[in-house]
Amino acid sequence: MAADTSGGTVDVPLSVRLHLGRAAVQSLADSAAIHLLHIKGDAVDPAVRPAGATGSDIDVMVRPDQVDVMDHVLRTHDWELYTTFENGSPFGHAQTYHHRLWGYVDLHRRFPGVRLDPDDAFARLWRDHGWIDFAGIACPVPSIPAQPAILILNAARGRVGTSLDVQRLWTEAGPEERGAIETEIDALDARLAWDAVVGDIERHRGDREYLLWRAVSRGGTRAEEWWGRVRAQPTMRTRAAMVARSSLVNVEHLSHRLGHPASRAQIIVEFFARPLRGIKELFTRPGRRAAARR
Amino acid sequence: MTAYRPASGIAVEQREDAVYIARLPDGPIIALNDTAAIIWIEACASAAGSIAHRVASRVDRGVEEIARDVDAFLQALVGQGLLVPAGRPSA
Repeated sequence: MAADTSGGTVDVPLSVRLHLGRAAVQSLADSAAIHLLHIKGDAVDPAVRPAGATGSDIDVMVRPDQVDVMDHVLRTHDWELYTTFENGSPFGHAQTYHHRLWGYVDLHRRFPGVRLDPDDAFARLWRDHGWIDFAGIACPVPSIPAQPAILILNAARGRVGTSLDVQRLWTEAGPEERGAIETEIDALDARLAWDAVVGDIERHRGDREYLLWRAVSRGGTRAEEWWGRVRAQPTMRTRAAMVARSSLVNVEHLSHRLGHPASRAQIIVEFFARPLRGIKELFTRPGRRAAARR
Repeated sequence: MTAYRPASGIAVEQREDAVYIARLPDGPIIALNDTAAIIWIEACASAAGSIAHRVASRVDRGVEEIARDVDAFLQALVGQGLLVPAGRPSA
């Protein structure tokens, strides 16, 4: 017999680790009565996306007023904070944690492109939620009509591999399926992000988020993305704060890139290196930037 | 009805000839391969015949040859809190 209970290293396939990880996260949510939806990757219903696209990490969306509690619960159970809401993405929508056994989990407090109030958006997704079993643990997932909308909004950020979702879920969809997806998009107030991928984003030229979505959906430069983030801010105060942040080094990202906490000297080097990279991007602009982790 | 089922707080993933068991929410992950995996699978299956008979059939060994080891392994899994007899409340 090859029962491995010795405490040694176990070689676990990625798909297994993801399922066990989702079960682990769900068990923590259940213990604290947290409303949490599993999204993307292997949480997508096979009726929406055929089996095979498991992703490489776990994505969950938490009821916004329970994010702090979930953060505390995760950290209490050896999940280490990897990136923060502020530094993880242009939309400030998720934090990433890492566990030595379960891998990475992206904890969403809202979904990029959804402009409905986050509490109302989650309530809508939670109201009709379904279930998927991971490793014997029942895990809540958005309803089948909502899942295509979420996947296409995810594709609007230009992430690698998501164009297939657009092809299958929208381009090849019939009128009834398209109508159901657009109903969800309108209910979630997500037309701008929607048009960035399947419609005409130029219809939203006057919108404060237009530049940001144009940059992320078409692979803009860092400077274009940052300017988009500034223009997307709802008030002058938050715009000023974003401008101030633009001059700072993202120490989280730098440390991850280096593989260790960045030293003061490395941060200084990075501070001066960034403008040079920005100039280089202007002259070597790719058609579509390679997607980062998010 | 199965003879055994995973205990409360135990997650299980089966892949062909391997069974991966995890204590929730903190681990560890335990991997059962080959005969160990077969014993787990048959213990949790709803099927006719004893567990030892079904395992013997799958590993092409005599029941008398393996019955004691199968029972000992099942008791070890129960003792570690991974399996519970079906119909009995979990701890």
